[in-house]
Amino acid sequence: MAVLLAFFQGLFFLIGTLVRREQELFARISGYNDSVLYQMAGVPVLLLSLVMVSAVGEYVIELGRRGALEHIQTLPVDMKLVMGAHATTIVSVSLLYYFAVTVPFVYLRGGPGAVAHLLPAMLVLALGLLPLFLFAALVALLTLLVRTEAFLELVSASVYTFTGIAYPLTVFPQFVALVAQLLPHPHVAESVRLAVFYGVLEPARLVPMLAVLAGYAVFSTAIYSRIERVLRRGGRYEVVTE
Amino acid sequence: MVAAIEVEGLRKTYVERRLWRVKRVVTALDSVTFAIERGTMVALLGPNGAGKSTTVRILSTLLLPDGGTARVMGHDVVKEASSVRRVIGVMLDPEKGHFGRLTGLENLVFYGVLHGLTRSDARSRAVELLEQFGLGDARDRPVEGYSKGMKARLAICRVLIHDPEVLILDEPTAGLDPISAREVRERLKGLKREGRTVLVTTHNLWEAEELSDRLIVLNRGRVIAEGTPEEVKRAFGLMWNVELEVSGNLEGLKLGWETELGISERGRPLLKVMIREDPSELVPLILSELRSRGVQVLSVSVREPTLEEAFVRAVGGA
Ligand SMILES: Nc1ncnc2c1ncn2[C@@H]1O[C@H](COP(=O)(O)OP(=O)(O)OP(=O)(O)O)[C@@H](O)[C@H]1O
Ligand SMILES: [Mg+2]
Repeated sequence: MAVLLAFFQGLFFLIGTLVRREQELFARISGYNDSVLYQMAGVPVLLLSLVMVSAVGEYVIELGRRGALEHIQTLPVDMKLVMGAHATTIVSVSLLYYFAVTVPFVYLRGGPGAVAHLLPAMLVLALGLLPLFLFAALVALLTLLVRTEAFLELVSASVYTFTGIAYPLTVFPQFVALVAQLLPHPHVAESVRLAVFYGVLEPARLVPMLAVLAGYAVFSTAIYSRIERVLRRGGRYEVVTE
Repeated sequence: MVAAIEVEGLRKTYVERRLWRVKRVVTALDSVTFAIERGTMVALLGPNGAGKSTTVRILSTLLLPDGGTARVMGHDVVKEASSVRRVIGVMLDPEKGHFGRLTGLENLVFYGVLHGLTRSDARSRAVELLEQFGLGDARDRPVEGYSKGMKARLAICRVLIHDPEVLILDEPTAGLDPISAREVRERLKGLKREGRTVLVTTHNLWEAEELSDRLIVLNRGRVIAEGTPEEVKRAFGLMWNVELEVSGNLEGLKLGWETELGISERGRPLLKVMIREDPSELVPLILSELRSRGVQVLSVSVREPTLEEAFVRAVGGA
């Protein structure tokens, strides 16, 4: 993961320095008005999300396969707490990665001032990782329900394609773009980009993301209870290995 | 006195779907009622698919029933799941639930902490249990290197780490060789002496008889017999098969028991005697009876009745 992150950051840097007038160039090629650079700044969010989806999914499936998931369900500990502990670890490690990998490039391109922009970006990213984690946890639960690991791959592929991070959302049909807006990723990526570029933590920018975050928290708690009930009704905590 | 486990009219139907279409509907429990008194060890006995694991899963709050109620130490398993979880220790599969790369001790400490123990309490309790269950030497080795028997004993330790009042164990000897199975049974008998309430499932009548004070027999999601091992065996009319390879004249032979004639694997005449009482008393009687009639006995084997056989007969006869 670190390698991928470094790779994209490197690309981000190269494009930034080599293509001077990248904005115009990109606008000419794609008809889209954001610079490649700006687009690229969201890539770490995408990568972290992909890593999170597969890490949490694999974690849940692996626990299930070992019979530990079921066993933990019989303990007086809330599964949300277990997932929360897992989330804390993943989020802190991700932030460290992001910081370590991004600082050199940002410094080279923008100097110390740009590095200062990274701090609000980190804060935004930390906040943004939470809905991404909730998203990953939901995907993990759904994977239990669907009972195929391929589901994880499907979600990862969709996240990669439809979140407006790898490509701008505007290249998609309007409907797809609209649905993609329901995912947390575009919002998180957008906030992180803004923070990296301008270092802004304006309420006008932050409020939508906080709203998305809160929305996701409410939504996933509700969905979580529902899915958990379905799982408990169907005896699905037992992961069959065929 | 409140019973430790009270199950009333419990029903559970599994609906298997492929996508949205219903593929198969299985009634796993069909109005199951029983009660288990505190401090007793009771075996839930039944052939494959009887609904034992389903009952265990409902009692351990993993599975929601479709109807009926179940209470553990007075707490409802649906409405008061977290209270139930505090008083039970559950083993679903003796081999599963361990983290292979962690050592036996680390596994126990991990689960102890999840049960709300402090790290040091969990550790001292774990060390004590590992010692007690003969895993003291292996405690710092990764669990993936344990034998099945060791994993099963570790699973018992795990169930005991928080000192629960009620133990619910699903086939604790499944997949073990006879020696390890016996060792596990010995340990389980020790638990009874500690005054805990234990519900243990098995499909082996002899194991059930050895372990428990009372049997509850399930078949196809219904309780079909309940009582002391003696009562249950009598209710089923279980019979031992005493098979004797003989030489001599068998014509007109009449013994006081039900007999059948056949040919043994080695091609010798085979006399099968079906008895209902303890073979250790009856076999010598049969032998002396035969000797007195001039029949020479070349070999004797006693086949214990299996529960499956009894079920086949009970269901087939009905
Ligand atoms: N998750 C499930 N989905 C669908 N059917 C199930 C599920 N779990 C159990 N069943 C079915 O319910 C019935 C009862 O199963 P259960 O596991 O309770 O039996 P058991 O007495 O534990 O048997 P065994 O000795 O094989 O462990 C069986 O017919 C089984 O196929
Ligand atoms: Mg079972």
